[in-house]
Amino acid sequence: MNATITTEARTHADSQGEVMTTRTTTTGAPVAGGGPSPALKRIVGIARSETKRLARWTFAGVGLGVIAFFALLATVVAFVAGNTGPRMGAMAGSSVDLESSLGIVAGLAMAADLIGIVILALWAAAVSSDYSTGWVRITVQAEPRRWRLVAGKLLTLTVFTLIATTIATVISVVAAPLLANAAGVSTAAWSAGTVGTIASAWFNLAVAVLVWGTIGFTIAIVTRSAIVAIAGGIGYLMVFEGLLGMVADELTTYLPGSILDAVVAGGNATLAYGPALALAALFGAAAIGISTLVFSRRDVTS
Amino acid sequence: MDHTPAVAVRTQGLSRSFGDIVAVKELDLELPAHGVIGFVGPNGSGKSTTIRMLLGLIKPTDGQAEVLGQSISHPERYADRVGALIENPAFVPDITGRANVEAMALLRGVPMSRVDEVLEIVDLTDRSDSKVSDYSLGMKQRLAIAIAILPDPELLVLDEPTNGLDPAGIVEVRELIRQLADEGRTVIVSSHLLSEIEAAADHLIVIRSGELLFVGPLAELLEQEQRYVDVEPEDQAQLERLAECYRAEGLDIEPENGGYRVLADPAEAGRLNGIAADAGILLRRVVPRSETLEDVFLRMTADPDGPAHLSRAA
Repeated sequence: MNATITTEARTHADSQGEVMTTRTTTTGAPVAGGGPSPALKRIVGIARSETKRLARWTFAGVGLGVIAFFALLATVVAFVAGNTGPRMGAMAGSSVDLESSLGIVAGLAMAADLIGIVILALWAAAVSSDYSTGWVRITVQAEPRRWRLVAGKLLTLTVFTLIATTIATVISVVAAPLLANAAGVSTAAWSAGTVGTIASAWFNLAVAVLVWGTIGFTIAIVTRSAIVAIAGGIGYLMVFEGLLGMVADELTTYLPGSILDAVVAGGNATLAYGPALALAALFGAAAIGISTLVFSRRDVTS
Repeated sequence: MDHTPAVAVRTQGLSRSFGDIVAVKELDLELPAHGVIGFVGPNGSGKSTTIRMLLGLIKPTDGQAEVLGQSISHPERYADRVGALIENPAFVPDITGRANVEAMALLRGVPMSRVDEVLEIVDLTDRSDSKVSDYSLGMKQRLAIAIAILPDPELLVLDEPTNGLDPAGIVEVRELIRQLADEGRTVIVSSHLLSEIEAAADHLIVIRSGELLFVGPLAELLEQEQRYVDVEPEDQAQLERLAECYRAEGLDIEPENGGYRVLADPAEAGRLNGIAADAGILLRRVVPRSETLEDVFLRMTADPDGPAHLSRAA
């Protein structure tokens, strides 16, 4: 029943409030720890802690499963339904698109909005569960520099999102030739620059869904509710921007939904790729800035 | 724990309002390091708000405070020396108890070997690989305490640690608190029931409606126990006459259940019986009584003029 801790792990606060790890030698003399900065080490620790909590069937398992399903579904729809279905993605295209060199990733692009919604929901759930379970109380007590908690959680969710994007890409790209063959779509042009096309599609999808995620993350921090975050995020991006576009199409060009569509498509008629990428990064950075500010300043009363 | 200052917590005029509601009002405390400090008050008295301010979860609207010699404006300077259970235990229910503790160990930068140690301290080693959703309430409380003691804290803050526990669970937690304090820690335990921490506390803080009623050693509160003798005449028609007799002797009385409560030392019971007998009044009931600590607490927290009677309160 020994309740003491090894002195190696003991941390002390210096006069500036930065935590400094010290090690005690056998003679008791402290020596400064080397390697990464204490802040970086703590952020990595927080990220690993988040991973421990999120790597469970009900979060990661279901989330990745749904994303894989949507990637496959969108790819099937892209090849079987062609352009007869409703618009579901920036590249929900015609048979011409499918036979071009981009055809191999057409399904992936079509799945972008669906995957984005799932990622938004997962990021929002990861945040709001901290409030609903009370975990936020003990994490803020344990690490009062709250920006580190935000950074650690963002790091974990970003890695998770990149894994999800990779899984979606693999499923879509593996299914595409089989479905093309079944649908009678020529794949002759697909071999030209295949790796570059797939890598580019993966990158664009990753950027888009990461921004979707940061939007869900921010709404969840502000509202402390997954339901509000998911409904608000989806409602805004899928409904509000759509309605606004019917009234004033030019207004929507620079709003998140249109920008992310342009990113996924590698640029489109309304917004070139470079500006779309820059604006997406700007929205993502703004979302992270707002969530960090709100989380750092607000009382933890949950 | 050699670095622990003599005073674990010091507050000066610490206040917190939520809109028009004053949750904590000008709290002045000086809590000694080491031992168990009971923090009691009715529900909504400001205990949790005070604890949250000390832990850096919410900011005070006025006043200042120090924890382990560091200002609460910089909780990062003492966070690694403090462990806490704040209100209800907080876990991810669908992962194991061990995984929850490991998650906090990773977040705090505590070595994984410590996880086994704390699970053993709270006697959860055997059930550590079960999902938390399968735990009883008592096991969840113990797991929350395991997480709180992960950093081997100099100061341990346990907010309502016995909430929802059965009597056996309450005793278990009390013993654990005593054990942790005996190892040199300062343990602040809040509760809305004095009886829950009476057995373990060395010092006591009593607040009501955000105001301090008492702070000091438990023994000092015990000195404020009221003692009295309940008397009842055989013939109810003699009630008024009995009152006149006792008043004539300079005794304070108040009506009580068909008789009187005479504010006198229980050792005076014989004399009170004699006074009645001299007046030809036969007493049916003469019962010496002392308030329990719980009675003192209830009287104190129910009496709006409480602070005026308490010498140690600020």
